[in-house]
Amino acid sequence: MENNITSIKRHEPLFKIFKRNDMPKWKALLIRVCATLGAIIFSMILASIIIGKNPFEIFGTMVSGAFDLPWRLIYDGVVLLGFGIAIVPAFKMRFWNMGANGQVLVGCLAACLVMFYFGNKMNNVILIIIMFIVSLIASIIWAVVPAIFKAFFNTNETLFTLMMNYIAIGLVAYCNFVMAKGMRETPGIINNLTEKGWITFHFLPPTIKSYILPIIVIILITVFIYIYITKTKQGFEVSVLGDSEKTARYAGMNTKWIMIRTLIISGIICGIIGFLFATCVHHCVTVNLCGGKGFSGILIAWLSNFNPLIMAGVSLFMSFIDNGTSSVTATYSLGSNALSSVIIGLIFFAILISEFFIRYRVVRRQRTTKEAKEC
Amino acid sequence: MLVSLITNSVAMAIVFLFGCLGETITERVGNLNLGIPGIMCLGALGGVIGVDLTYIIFNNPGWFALMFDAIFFSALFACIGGAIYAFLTVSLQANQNVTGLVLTTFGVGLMKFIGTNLNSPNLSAASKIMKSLFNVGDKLGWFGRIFLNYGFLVYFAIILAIFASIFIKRTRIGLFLRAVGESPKTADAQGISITKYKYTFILIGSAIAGLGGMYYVMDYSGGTTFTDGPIEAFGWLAVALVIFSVWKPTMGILGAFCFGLLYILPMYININPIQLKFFDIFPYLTTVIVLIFTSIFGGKSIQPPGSLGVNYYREDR
Repeated sequence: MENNITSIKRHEPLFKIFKRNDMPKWKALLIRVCATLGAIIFSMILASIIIGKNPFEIFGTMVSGAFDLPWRLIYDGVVLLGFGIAIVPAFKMRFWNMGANGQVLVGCLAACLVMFYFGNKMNNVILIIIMFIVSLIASIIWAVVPAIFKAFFNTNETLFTLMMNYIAIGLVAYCNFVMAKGMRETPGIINNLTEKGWITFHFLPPTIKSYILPIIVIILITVFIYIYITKTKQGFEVSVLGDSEKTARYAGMNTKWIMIRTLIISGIICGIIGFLFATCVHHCVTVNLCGGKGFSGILIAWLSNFNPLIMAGVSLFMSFIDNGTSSVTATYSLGSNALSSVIIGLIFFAILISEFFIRYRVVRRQRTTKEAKEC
Repeated sequence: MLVSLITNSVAMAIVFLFGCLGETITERVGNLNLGIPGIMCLGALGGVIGVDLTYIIFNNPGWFALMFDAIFFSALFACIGGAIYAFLTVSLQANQNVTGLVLTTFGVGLMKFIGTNLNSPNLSAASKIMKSLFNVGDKLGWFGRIFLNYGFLVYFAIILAIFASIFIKRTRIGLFLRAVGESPKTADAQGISITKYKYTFILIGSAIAGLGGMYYVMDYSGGTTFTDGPIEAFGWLAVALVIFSVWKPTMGILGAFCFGLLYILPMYININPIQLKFFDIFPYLTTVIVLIFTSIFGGKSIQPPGSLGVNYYREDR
């Protein structure tokens, strides 16, 4: 008997993990904040080793650089929020839309093509309306094609949407080359002199005149999507489908149509962002227009658990890191702004680790006499 | 011209082959690692650091020291990336897609951040030594130029792919590895340690994928600046290639060659540069088409591993 107990004990793992739902919200938040701070401290030490400067000095440069252009900070944050929001409906359905980058790019591309070729041929208002419609159509196509194949043939949507990004990038490079008639890589800023197809508010100060409309529109979209997901029947159908496809089917829902409809909504949001890029902010389309914002959007949406307020906070924070590190890059002449990716990567690693301790409880193996007796 | 088209395609293909092989092994054990682009970047960074260190330690290093250090450090760096991924997804049950994306962000960023400060002229010298090592092709006519005209890593990749295929298909450990990927619950009931298998093969897969990044810098591009290179895009292509090759390493060799050919071909076609731009999307387009075809006409043997992308938590029932 004695022997038997010890042999059972020996096979018990050193740590046992249990699921938990009982952590108070403030404690969970505190853990996440601590993880973020830890990651920032770690990355500052890493940066100071590479750059060869005092970490506090680097952090100071980062903070002052980020708040140098406050509207830029807010605008970048809101754009990231837009990418995150574009992904939320699909994500609620457990549809991994990796293609927000590509969807925004084709939207912007479509608007730019119209702006370039029809800029001087029609009334400005009609031009902008056509640009809007065309960019919506382009983005919807980019989002819906993977959804159709997922719905009917169960094609892997993660890789499909991922590939669509690179097809979009190739198309942008090609169309830019065509617009520039093969002389240069890009045609530059479109309608720079005539400002046809631009929406500008000349009465506003230059720091905000191109940012104000995207900020307002994306915030409105966020509110709309929040209501759509939490308060409407369609939003409820999306979350049921995300929890269990079978349940959705047995409840009599048309799962294929729900999938396609949800991706149309994703496409519309991406199309609006692309349209805003073309008409308000950039007035041109480049292959690096979105950078890694589509992926950042996924991370934001996932780690905020689709709560729009937290999403806004996380987006602003990421924009702070991005703008801060670009000033660090400029100050210490580091070449490309890669420090931001390193810091964001480290922060997300830390948060992923902390998620574990929020969702699970770890118990160390104990050898108490009481337990031994129970055996 | 045909000969040089083939050799260039093969040289390009090896970048994809390493990445694809690493990802195939990882996916066979049930983990969809979207961090492969980041891991390839870490591998490239590690290889460059290894070569740099060799030049610092020895003034005029021989081929063995260079080769060993490049492979060792690139595998080491890639393994660190893989270990982070494995720790988060296997031990800490984090979502695989999210963890992979974070790893890609981090790896690409770290390569660019550290790599820009590491631009030494030693790289091209080292690259020449590494390329010419087994390069005996010129003496043997067209046959030699097609089959024997590459650096050591090219042969290494192909041998590794064949070996991996035999290992997965024919050995006992390979069988267990497939069991873990198909149904971890069943494998666990059989007494196979899921954690051990997942860790081991995620790390091995990462190390192999990392060599792809190192190969691109040290062999294919001849040791030129690597930080603005397209390693990230190659990484995504490697992930796509896993589907193209339906999770079989030997098919990966063929698929990698097709991708290499698609990538190189436009340079050999006599068309104007505008149309040339359009050819850049062909590898991605092909992948999409293959993805669609395998999902529509897929038999049982070409389906992804059963538990791909799903973490194993023993107490879930």
